[in-house]
Formats: sequence, structure tokens, C-alpha cells
Amino acid sequence: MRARRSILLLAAGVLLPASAAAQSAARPARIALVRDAADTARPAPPVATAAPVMVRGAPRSFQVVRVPVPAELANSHTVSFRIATNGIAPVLGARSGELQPNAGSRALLLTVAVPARARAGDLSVAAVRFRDENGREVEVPIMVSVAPIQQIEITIDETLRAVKAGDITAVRYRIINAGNAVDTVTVRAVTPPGWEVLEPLPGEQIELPIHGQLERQLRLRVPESAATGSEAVRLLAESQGRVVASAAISLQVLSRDGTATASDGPLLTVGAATVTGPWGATRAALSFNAQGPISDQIQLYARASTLGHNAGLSGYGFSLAGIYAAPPSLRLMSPHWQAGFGLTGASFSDLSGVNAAGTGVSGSVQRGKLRASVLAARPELGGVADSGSLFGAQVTAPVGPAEVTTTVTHLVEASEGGRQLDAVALGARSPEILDGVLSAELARRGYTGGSGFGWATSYERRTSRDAIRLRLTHAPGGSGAFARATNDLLLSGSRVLSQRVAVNGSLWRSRDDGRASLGRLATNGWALSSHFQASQTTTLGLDWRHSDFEADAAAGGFGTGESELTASLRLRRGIWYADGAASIGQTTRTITVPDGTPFAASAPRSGLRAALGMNGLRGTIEATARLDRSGQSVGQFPLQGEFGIRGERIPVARMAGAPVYISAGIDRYTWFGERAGATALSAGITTDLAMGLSLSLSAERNPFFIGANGRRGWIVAIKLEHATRLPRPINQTFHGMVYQDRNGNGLRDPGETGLAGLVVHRGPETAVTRKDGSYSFSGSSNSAPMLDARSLPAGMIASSSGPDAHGSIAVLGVATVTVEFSVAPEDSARVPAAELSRVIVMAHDSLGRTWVARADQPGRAMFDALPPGRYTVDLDLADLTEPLRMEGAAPTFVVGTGSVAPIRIELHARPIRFHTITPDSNTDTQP
Amino acid sequence: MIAPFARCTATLLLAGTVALAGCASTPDQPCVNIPGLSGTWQYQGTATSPEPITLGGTLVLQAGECGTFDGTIDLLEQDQNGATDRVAGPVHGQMLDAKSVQFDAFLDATASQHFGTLAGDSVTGTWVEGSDPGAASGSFTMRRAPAP
Repeated sequence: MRARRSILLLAAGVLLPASAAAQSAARPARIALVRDAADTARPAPPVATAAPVMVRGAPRSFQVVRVPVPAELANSHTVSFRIATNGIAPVLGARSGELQPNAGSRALLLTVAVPARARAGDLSVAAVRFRDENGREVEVPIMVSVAPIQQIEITIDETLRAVKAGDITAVRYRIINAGNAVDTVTVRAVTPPGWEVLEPLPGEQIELPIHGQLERQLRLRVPESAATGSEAVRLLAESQGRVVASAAISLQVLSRDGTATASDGPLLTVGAATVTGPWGATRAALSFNAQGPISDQIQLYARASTLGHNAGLSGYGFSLAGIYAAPPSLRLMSPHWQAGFGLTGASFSDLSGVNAAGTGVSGSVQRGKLRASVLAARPELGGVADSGSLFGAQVTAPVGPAEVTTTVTHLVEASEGGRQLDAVALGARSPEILDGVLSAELARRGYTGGSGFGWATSYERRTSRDAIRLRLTHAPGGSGAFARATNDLLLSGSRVLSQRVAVNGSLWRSRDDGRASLGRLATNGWALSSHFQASQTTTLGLDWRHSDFEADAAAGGFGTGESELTASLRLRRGIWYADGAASIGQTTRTITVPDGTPFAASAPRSGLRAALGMNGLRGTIEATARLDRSGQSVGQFPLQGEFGIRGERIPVARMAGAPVYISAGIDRYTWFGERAGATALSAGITTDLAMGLSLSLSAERNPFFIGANGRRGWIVAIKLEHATRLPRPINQTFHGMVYQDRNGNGLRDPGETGLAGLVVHRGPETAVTRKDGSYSFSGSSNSAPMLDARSLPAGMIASSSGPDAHGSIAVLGVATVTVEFSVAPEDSARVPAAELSRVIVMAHDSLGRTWVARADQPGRAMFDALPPGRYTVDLDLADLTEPLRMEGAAPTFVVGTGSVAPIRIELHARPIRFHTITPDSNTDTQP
Repeated sequence: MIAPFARCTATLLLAGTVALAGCASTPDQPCVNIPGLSGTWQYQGTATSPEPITLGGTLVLQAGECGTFDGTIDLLEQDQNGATDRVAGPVHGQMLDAKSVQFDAFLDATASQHFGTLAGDSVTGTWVEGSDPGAASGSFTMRRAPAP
């Protein structure tokens, strides 16, 4: 008769032998064995350990585990089992029992609940000890391979911020890893055009530990030309090229003087430039640009210059300063209509005319799905007046789920080689065919020398993983009649095969009989390309393409065919980048002179491209190299190279508080002895001056420039610019105040200061509080002013009482929240106080966002500034070596007006159960 | 980071160098007796597709061997919205017979292929740039500039 053994099992478990314990070294809980004195006098029977049973599971999932009876006991008649857990994951079902013999293999089925907070990786959760009638025991560890769950959250403490045009603004944001594995992300900002992102740096890798949070800063430079109004900026957190979290903030753009936005009108920029160059005399010109609102609904865009079309070569010098010899233009835009005056244009459709532009008027209006547009202009190109005319009208109306469009155009360019079209077109567009958009159009087209019916159809579908586009057009008259070509086929598609691989391809075939200078131009080609993102920093590409054209003209026929295979590599690391590409190909040329004699040449070609640079707060610096080799008579030099280095917008100094930026570049062209090499130089400097003035200087020396008198040299352009915000028409003014109500009595008492930079709405108007907290409206709305709560700093809320009769709005501060947690007195002896420093305290708000508290000291954590709302406290205890748990429902608290009392939580160790095992009976008794 | 970066770049450069070394080819061309194209020419051109532009400027040519010529072209380009650009670069071409002129103007990454007929002191013809969808094309006229 075997001796009876008493086994003390901790944490509801049984003994795990040393080997099994070693396999489960990662688990935080401990399992130990103590035998009584009588038992220790005899050697314990050996317990074999079988290979662990592994099961994969995600957090919050239940996994059914099949545990076969070990081979050592397979022939035993009766096999009993006992399941020991370590408290990490609950095991459902009977903890002990007996497996009866049967014909097949015997196995135990049990269910493991994978904890919600289980961290990615292998986790030892239990052990099954099998015992046969002869007392032989074999233990099988149960392991769960916890799948990684990615959960990144990004939050911006503010949702609305007031900024001024030309300023740099900084907004704090937090990024939290709420997943169960260490993660690495990059953060980038999506801004309106022209806005400069100073932080986050492009490509910066941010490593986040599990439940770790980092505070970062978004820094933006608002352009001087930014129109007043609301703009959105989005922060995107990306991992492996995929957006995993995003947050947005609205930025209310103020005028430069920071006054209320409702009275801000367009920004008027006046520039004066002077240029010198090899042409001799120094020339000067003025430019005028206006951009911005002239009412709540209407935006103005206008430009003009004193530069005439006779500027000649100096015109290029002025273009360096952003001044062009274009006719003046003015455009008004509202949500429902647009109107253009002066230089204007329109593109109606492939059949009824594209790229029609001239001097005149254009307009469009939209009412629901009903749209109409018109054009009435006189062609003008290169400053040469044209006696032709451009008239067109288009109406689009809904018919059921589809849209029907009718267009009538009369487009005539009377100058030599000009285009001509008289068209009547009827088209339809349906958005609901094969998950894509199908369009079709039929038109009667009259053109120089003929007329005919044209037709066009297109289909376009775009999803998150693939895109396809097909366009077929037959437009008699071709490009000579305001079409892209006479016959045109374009098929393109792309598909994302995985997170790392994307492929796309295209096929095109075009024939144009309508060009005045060409009898016929036919182009054909195809392209296939693929991109493989090897890592977050490395992208590989492979492109294969072929294209050719054939042209027939009075001088004869000529054409070129090119095939090329290109391999490319793109590397990104922080602000640094490197691009490289190598290509090989073949070029074939054919020429037939008027007497019918053919000329043909074919040669292989190859090329190398490389670029290395950085793009960061200190500007852009880039070095480039390009090398091409080809055969004779195929349109290339036998060997040519281009090497350059450039720097752009590099801050070098400050002048009157404003940064001074320089740009410079040098390019060297060489043909390796075939012809003399050449070097191009460029330089520039820009800075803001006092009183809203800015100065820019651009200089360029291009060795290929030929002056009218054959002289070459530097072209230098200097421009002085002044920007002024014009007022809108003012009807009446309303003044108010936003202040911090420190004692919460709803009245502004002495010492309660005004709050600057807060956004207040009144009807359609928006204003921003000044330094003293005051605000004003200039419109005629009778609505009550409302403080936009999104513009409040974290930890402040607007008083629910609203504004008083004088427009005064009270703002209340809120308190920080402290969470104190301790171990229950009965368990304090088992759990050292230092263990509490491993507890991570979180709070979930009603929107599902997670807030992580700052660990203050062991047993205390603080939420420094929670926004108003209802929160539920949550503790992450996974890092503790001694399992603890929170009993009862999770505490909740509300952040509103007034302070929040500290939240106190008592933690309990897992209960100890004593089991006495009787080997013969396999029954437990608990003392 | 530096090691894989340098390794990839070096591999790419090596592959390209090998490709460059093996790709030289010079097909034979008939040598024609041509009138001289050397000198300065005034260039005027237009394009109608994909959108109208005007081109005007100067072309300086130097005759080479066997009917070939090299030179430089400097053009002001203006589109229908009034935007002005100055495009300039080397020119490389040849006379195919006593009247037919073919040359390429390297104004951008893609060469503009010109083909025209010489008549007296002027060349009239057409040009095409690229063969992708929406390839630009137009007409041009070159007139020999009077001697200073």
C-alpha cells in the first residue's frame, strides 16, 4: 500500500516539475510544492513530463484544447487526470476526473479563456497530470500562444485651436499603445496645402511599450496667405505603411493682427520686382494678388500684373519672382456658384471640348444635383489677340439614380493652326454599375473640313485594394477640334496584393488625325510595375514598359519605339532618404523622307539614377546623379551625365526675429568629350521684414540660355512684397468677454482674468478672444454667442449658464484625478509594496478612449488633466510577479465642475487553497 | 542602417555600371553632303495638344561630321493661363538628305523629336515629345538670324 502524500498547492495548482517550470518561465505566477515530513522521508515517485500542448488564441477568446493521454500511459486501463492552473487564464470544466479505456486514442478536452490583457507571446496557463492505476504519473503543460493585437490610440488634448496667418503653432498630442505587444509607429500630419509641418519629423520611428504612452508635439507653420476660417489638420499614426490611428484638430485661422475673424476680408499682396540679365536693361514690374473672403459665403481670388507680353527674355526673370505676363483674372467662389472674369477657361467633356481658355467670363451654379456652367470668352494665347470665340453651356440634371448632361459648344481659335469645334452632346453617368461609375456620351461634332458623330464611354472603380479605369473615345476632328485625340483607348488598373506588395499596369492606344501640323499621330504603349515594401524604410520597385509613336507630316514620317526595364530602390530613415534606379532598354527610330527613302536605327540604352538627401527642419539638401548611355542616331548622346547638389529653404540667420532662408544649387552636365560640359548655378534668399514686408532674391546662371544678342550671364530677380488683410463690409459690432470663473459664482469678480485664443460663434460668424479675453462680432446676427468648447484647454469647461446680457462667458477649471491603490491588509505580508509600482492605471471614457495615468509613487497614480466626462478605472496587473485582483465593479468617476475626490482601490491576492491528495482514491480534502 | 543602405546602393550602382558597359552600339549611317546649318536661328513653335502653348527663342547650331550637328536651344514657353517658363538645353541632330532635318532638343527628361524640311534659310516641320498618353506635339519654324 502506497504511502499517503499531502500536497500543498498554491494558487489552485499542482506541482509543475522543474522542467515544466523552466518552460513556463515567462509566467508571472508561481507554483510550488511542499510535502509533509512523513512524505519527505521517502523518495517521491518520478513524474514524467510530456511535450507541452500549444494552442493559439487571441485575447478575450475561448480556446478548446485537446490533451491526448501521454504515450507512456496509453496502454493503461484507467487513467485519471488533474488540472492545475496558475491563475493566469481560467480553465473551464472539471478539474479532475477519469478517462475510461476505449478503442481510439484517449484525450482530455478542456477550455481555456485567454485573458483580455494577455500579452503577445507564449503563455503557460495550466498543467494536466495524468495518473494510471499503477501510480505512474505524466504531466502535460498547456501553453497558449497569444496572438498580437495591435491597438494604437492617438489623442489631441484640444479639438480646436486659434492660429494666426504666418505663425508657428504647437499642439500637444499623446500616442498610446493599448495593444498587447510592443509596437513601432510613425506619425505624420495631413495639412491644408501650403502649410509647413515642423513636427513630427517625417519617418521618425516611435517605439511604444505595451500600455505605454508618449506625449509629442505637432508644430505647424501657417502660411501668410492662409485665408481666415476653419481648417482641419489630421494626425495619422502608421505602422507597416498602414494607418492604425488618427486624430484631428480644427484650426481657426485668424488674420495677422489677430482681430475677430468675422471682419477679415481678402489678403491683398502687392509685389514689386526688378530683374536684370544678359538682355541689358534692368526692368521692373508690379503684381497684385488678392485671396480671401469678401463675405461669409464668398471667396475672392484675383491677380494682375503690369508685366506685358513684350517682356521677352526678361519675362523668365520675372517668373523667378512669381510674376507672369498673364491677363488679369478674378474669380468668385461660393458653396453653390462660381464666376470667373478676365483670363478664364473651361473643359466640358472629351466630345464637347477640353482646354478652352481665353479672356472673358465663365460661371457655374449648383442646386442639389442640378448643375449648370457657361463660358463666353475670346481666345488669347501668348499675348496674341485672336478673333475667334469660345462659347459653351452645359446642364446636368438627375434622372432617377443617374445623371444626364447636355452640352452645346461653339469653340473657334481663328489664328493659324487654331482649333475649331461646334458640338451638341448628350451624356449620362450612373454611379451604381458593378460597384463603379459608368459614363457614356454621344455628340455631333463639326470641325474644320468635316463633321461626324463621336462617342465616349468610361468606367471607373476604386476600392481600398484595387482600382480600374477604362476610357474609350472616338472624337472626329481630334485635337484640332478640342479633343484629346481622334481615337483613344486607355486601360489602367492597380491592386494591393498585401500590405507590402502592390502592382499596377496600364495600356494605351491613341490616334489623332486632327493636328494642324501633323497628318497623323499614333501612340501605343503598355506599362507594368510593382512595388515591394521590404521594411518601413526600404521599398523596391520594378517597372517594365514599352511605348512608341508614329507621326506623318509634310516633311515625311518619323517615329520612335522605346522599351525599358527599371529596378529601383528607395530608402527612408528619419529625415534622410536615398533613391536609386538602374534601367536597361532599347530605342528604335524610323524616318521616311518625302522621296520615300527610309532611315532606321536601333540601339540599346541604359541608365543610372541616384539621389541622396535629407528633408527636415533645417531645410532640404539633396545630391543627385544621372548617367545615360545610348547608341548613335536614336536621339541620345552616346554618353551623358548630370550631377547636382542643391539646398532649399535652409535657415541660416534671423533678422528682426524672422528667419532668413537660403536656397542654392549647382548642376554639372557632361558628355564625356562629345561636347563641352556645362554648369548651371542658382541661388536664392528669402526673409520676412518688419511691417508685413517680405524680401526675396533669386539668381540663376544657366549655360544653355542664349540672350537675344548672344550674351550669357546671370539673371537676378529681387522682389519686395507686402501683405495686407482687407476688411469685410461691417454692419454692426457686438463685444463680449470670456473669463475664468475661479469661484464658480457665475460673475466676473476682481482677479478673474480673461482667456485668450478661445473661439466664439454667433450664427454664421466666428470670433477669437484677444489677449484680454474680449471678442467682437461685426455681422447682423441676433443669435446668442456660444463658446466653442473644443477651443478650451484641457481641464476647463464652459459654464452651463451661458453668456450674460453683456456677452460675458464664464469658464470653469477642473481638477486632476488621483487614484490610490493598496493591498488588502490580510495580503500585505505576501505582496511587497514595491510591487505596486508595476501597476498601470488607466481610465476609459464614454467614447472608448483610453487614458493612462502618470505613476506618481508605488500605490498612487495621477491623471493630470482629464477632460470633462464619465470614466471607468481599469488596472493592468499583468506586470506583477504576485497575482493581484480588484474585487467588485471597476470604480467610476465623473470629471466636471469642481474637484474629484481621490479614487481608492483595494487589491487582493489570489486565495490559497489547500488540497490533500490521496493517491489511491484521487480525492481531495480541504482542511 | 548604414550597412544595408550602403550595400543596396553599391549593388544597384554595380548592376547599372555593368549594364552601361555592355550597351554601347553605333549603327552605321550613310554620310551625306549637306548644306551648312551652322549659325543662329530664330525658333517659333506652337502646340495644340494636350493644351495650347507657344514657344519662341533661339537656336545656335554647329555642324559636325557626316551631316550631324550639335547646338543649344533656348525657348520661352507660355501656356494659355499665362504661365511663363524658359526651357533650354542641348540639341543633337543630323541632315538626312539635302532637305530633311531631324534633331532632338533636350529640354527636359524627355527629348523633343523634331523633323522638318530645309528650304533656303528656314526649316519648317513638326515635333513630338514622348509617346505616353497625352504626348505633346506641335509645329515649328526656324529662320536663320541675320548676321550681326
